[in-house]
Amino acid sequence: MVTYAPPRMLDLAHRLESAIASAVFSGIVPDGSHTWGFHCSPEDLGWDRGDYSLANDDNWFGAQLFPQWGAAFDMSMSPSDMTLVHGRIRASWADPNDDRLSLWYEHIGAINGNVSRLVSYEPEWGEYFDADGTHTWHEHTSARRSQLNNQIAMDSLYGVWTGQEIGERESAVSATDELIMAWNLGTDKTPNSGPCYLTTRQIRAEDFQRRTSEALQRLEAAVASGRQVALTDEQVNKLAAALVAIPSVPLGERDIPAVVAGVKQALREGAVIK
Amino acid sequence: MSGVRRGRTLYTGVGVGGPADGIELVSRFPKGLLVVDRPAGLVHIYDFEAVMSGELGRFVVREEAGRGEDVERRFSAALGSEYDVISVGAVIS
Repeated sequence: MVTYAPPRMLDLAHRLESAIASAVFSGIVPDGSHTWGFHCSPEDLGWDRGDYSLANDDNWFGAQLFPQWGAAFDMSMSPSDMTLVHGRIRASWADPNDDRLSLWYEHIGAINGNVSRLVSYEPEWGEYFDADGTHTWHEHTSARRSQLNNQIAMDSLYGVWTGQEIGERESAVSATDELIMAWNLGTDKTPNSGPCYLTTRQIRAEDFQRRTSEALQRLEAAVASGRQVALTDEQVNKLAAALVAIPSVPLGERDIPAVVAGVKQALREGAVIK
Repeated sequence: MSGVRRGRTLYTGVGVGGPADGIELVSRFPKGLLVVDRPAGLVHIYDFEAVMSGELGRFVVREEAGRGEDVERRFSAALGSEYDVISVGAVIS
């Protein structure tokens, strides 16, 4: 079995415990009888496209990025906190002006003992009542597998759970996070991912070509050498800086998709993020 | 959508001792569960004892008074495959 816990998700669990009185982190990786769904890594699922956590294109894309990561976490809490938290999630989910949950897949919990499963991923958006009763004592949250290393997603969920206003966000976004968002921007399979955040960035345009070119050349050279390469934090940050080094012009009007495609191709050929 | 209501093994029994004494408990893991009281900084470990099929098992507390909470160990337990980890608030409301 190869399922690891995403570091940002663990950090989120710590933060949620600090913010919600009765909340206790209850797990990420699955129990032995749980051989399906978001708690399991794509590798443990045997890359089964029939599993619902790998079925849509976004999760399948994310599976390529994070093949050994589980993508769901459970938080146990009192019935009153559960009602409060799942109520906040439901309110955010139902608000057309609130897109914070769009970076997550589903939320299973209970309001006054009634279990509901809210899918917040736009193409499959809806409320379902097909989850089991264990979710009366723990809130289950499934990430979109493509967003597992996205701090914006973590902060957005934290904001919903803790009752923050839309637009409030506690932690800053690193360049690496922006890169993750940019990858998603490069696919037309993820309509709800990051462009709205990226388009507000303002950095001098003349830096864009040079910095992007340098970063890609370094990456391409490493991949061309035929060895398994690791993309260092420094490289990621430079590349990310290049990707967002754009004046106040929507990213879609730049040649970002080509850049993103190059990075993704490099990753497919062996580059990995450390 | 499918895949949510899927078969899984649950371990059900009555708590013996500690904060969950006499309360019916469910664990998703075979060895038992940790009942965590964060405000009090306490963890009670309950070991599961299976009985005949069709009857409730028992979750027996190891230490009546519990033990001081160690967040790192608690997270490790939650990431492991032996003990479930739940909030005392989920047990006693």
